[in-house]
Amino acid sequence: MELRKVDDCIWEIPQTGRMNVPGRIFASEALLEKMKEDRTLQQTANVATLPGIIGYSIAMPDAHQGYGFPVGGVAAFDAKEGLISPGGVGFDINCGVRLMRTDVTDKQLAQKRDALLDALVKSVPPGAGREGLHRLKKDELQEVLMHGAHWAKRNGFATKDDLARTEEDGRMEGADPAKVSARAITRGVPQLGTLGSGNHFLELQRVDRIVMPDVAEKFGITKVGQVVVMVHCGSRGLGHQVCGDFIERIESTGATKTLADPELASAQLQSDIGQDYRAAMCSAINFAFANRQLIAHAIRQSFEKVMGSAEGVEQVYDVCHNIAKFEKHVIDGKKREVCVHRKGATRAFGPGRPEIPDVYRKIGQPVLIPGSMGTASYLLLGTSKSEEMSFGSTAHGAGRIMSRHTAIKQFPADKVKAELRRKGIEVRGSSGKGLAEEAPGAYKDVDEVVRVSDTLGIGKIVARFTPLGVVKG
Amino acid sequence: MVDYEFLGHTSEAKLRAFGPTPEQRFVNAARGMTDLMFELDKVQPKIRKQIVIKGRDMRSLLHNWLEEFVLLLDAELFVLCRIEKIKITKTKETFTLDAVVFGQKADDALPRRGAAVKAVTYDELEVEGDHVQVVFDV
Repeated sequence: MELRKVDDCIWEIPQTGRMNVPGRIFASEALLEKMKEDRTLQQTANVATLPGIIGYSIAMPDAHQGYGFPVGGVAAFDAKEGLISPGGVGFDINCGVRLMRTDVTDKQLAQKRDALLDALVKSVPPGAGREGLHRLKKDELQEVLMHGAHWAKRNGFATKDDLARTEEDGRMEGADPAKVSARAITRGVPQLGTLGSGNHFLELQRVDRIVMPDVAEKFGITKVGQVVVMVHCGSRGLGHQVCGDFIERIESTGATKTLADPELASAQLQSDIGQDYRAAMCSAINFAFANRQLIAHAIRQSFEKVMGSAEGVEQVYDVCHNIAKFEKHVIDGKKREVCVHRKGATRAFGPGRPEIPDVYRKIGQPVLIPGSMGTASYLLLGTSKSEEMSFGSTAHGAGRIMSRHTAIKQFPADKVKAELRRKGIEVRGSSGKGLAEEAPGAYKDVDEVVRVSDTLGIGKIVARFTPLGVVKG
Repeated sequence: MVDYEFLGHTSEAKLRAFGPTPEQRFVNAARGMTDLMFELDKVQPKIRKQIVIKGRDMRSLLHNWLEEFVLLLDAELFVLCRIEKIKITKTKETFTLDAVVFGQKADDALPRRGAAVKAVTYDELEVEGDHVQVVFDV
């Protein structure tokens, strides 16, 4: 595929054939080479063929092959005339990341780390075929789908600050539980408060480096060695089923036959399917907010139990990285409302945006980028530049470079575990092949991913965290 | 010949299942899906279920068949291991699959592989020829 270098870390796939806009890749040469090894670039070009796409089909530094849309992709459509695409959001609707800061230091944690991990793995069940500890009544689920983390607050699982420090205040407007299928509800009810599997995790991390001390302090990060807790998970089976249901519904209309890839299935935002999908998606978004909030509550309870107190265990922020939402962006000099799809991309708004919580509005939003198991994770600062360059978005993680199957062959699970131990990282939850699949070597270098974000200015590095203990999904 | 194999896919799991008949290929695909998440040979046939799946064509039938087991795992913790009396019939506009399936409830003793199927996708889905192929979002 033809690629044109625009600037340092910026590449363009020229508009050819059925493409309606060019593709734009944000990557270093090393990351670009990785993208060339799978269908990332082709999929970025395929997204550019969707009618009404605005500006560019964008691939972030961590982009890798998905199905239809690449994982690590951003695409925007007009809020009235444009499309909405279940595949452009992804199966795990509102998969996201939550960061909690604590007053505990790594030295204080050392003796109690394993006990804390044991408490966490008990209260936040990881892996396939697990039920959450909080069993919902059927009527209660409607509340969860309508009100997200606000449902959690009403039930004593959230503080006011938790809600204020969550994207969309932890409740996405526009939800309609009636648009969520019975199958999706059946899948979701037992899973609230569970972690999921694959690359989902709950990690105890230590502050390894602070790059912007003033900003870090505003985000509650004050010293190297401070312990933080990071959670990466989403809307569980409920969200996955919502996505599948609507791809199926769009497919059954025959609308996907003319597409470059059937998983690009999309509907006009104003059509019945488009409206229904949005209402169901917003419901799933709320389910995920409630899920991460219950996990945050379980984290506090575990701290109380093992560390003696949960004082100071406070939320820094909670970001969504699989989502479509209406936002105002300046396009060709004019402010315009668009429906931004972020599939494996994180919103990275700079100062002044009304969407950012009051406490952060003067400086920009916190951006949370988790690494793969056993590697570093990052706290970044959103910027106005991202609003100019990438519809206010940056990367979302490390991004796979190796198939799960190859990883299993290449990294024996016991060696992975031994290697993590050698680095001082204790793992709970999934063992066996799951560990091998998520071996650090199966992922891109997260340090390189955030370096590109920082160099481009679409998300500036504030602090780097390294893991002390992992509950692996 | 193997019943199924996993092929390279950067982020997801791509499964190809073989067999002399469409029914056998569907059986092997479903068992392969369990094998992705649990140690298949450790799953006991303790629970019996009769299921009926419909699809508008063979593609959607394969998709819906596999998705049923994703649903049963999430909703009831049912883990599939054995399939009997599987029959695919075609009426004018609908394909129907009837089968009796066996498995067990996922308990703590059942070894997990670390992956869970989030969804059965239509990406690179194939039902023609001597195999079926499907990409799972995991």
